[in-house]
Amino acid sequence: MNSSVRRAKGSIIIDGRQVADTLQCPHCGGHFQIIRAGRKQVNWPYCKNCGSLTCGLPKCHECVPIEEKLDLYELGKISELR
Amino acid sequence: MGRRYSISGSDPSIANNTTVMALDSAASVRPLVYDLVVSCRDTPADQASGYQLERFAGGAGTSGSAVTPQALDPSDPASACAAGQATYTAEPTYTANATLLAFNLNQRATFRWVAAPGGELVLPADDDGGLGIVATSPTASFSVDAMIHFEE
Repeated sequence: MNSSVRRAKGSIIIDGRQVADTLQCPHCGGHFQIIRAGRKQVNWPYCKNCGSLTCGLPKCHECVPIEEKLDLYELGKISELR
Repeated sequence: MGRRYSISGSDPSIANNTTVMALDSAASVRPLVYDLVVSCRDTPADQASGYQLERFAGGAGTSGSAVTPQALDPSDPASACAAGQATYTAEPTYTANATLLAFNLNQRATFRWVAAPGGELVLPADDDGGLGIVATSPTASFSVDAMIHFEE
């Protein structure tokens, strides 16, 4: 299986053929696609606190790991999980 | 590794912002979604739709019919989770800006997403929470089938 990233967290397969890998945002748990761009350098949103690539959405600018959000949500200390 | 289950459902006629299938979590487990397949069985045509996997937290709505999770290991007990498929008479209460996976797909193609170990979509242990597959801006109203494998 060809991989476009070293630590892919998921794979997208269209009609039986792998077409892309996905990474997982450590803050929201969502997956986002890495688009193969050959030699093109892509600047991807990066969290300086935890050192991980993020999805780049405004809701994930603050470094709160998804595991912590799940715990807080289940304890009723936050009303929304996003 | 936890117990693994499968749910399969369909929407005979998708429309904008309607749920194809939803996985309802339970207060006793955190479901981990690790495999997703979306396809269409209609006569091939050049139509397309967007799809989003979104969290919901305010209740699973009212589905067209229930879907019973099937254990991949027959010796496992019934899943603590539930599921439903279209056509929803009351949509789940989706959380804003809580899309976990989004993609666009031509009607002719079959889409599959697989999580690497540790990359699963984690749902909270919440009776009113879960994950829904929502069709967005379809170019036509066609039928869609979906399958999810999850672990709890």
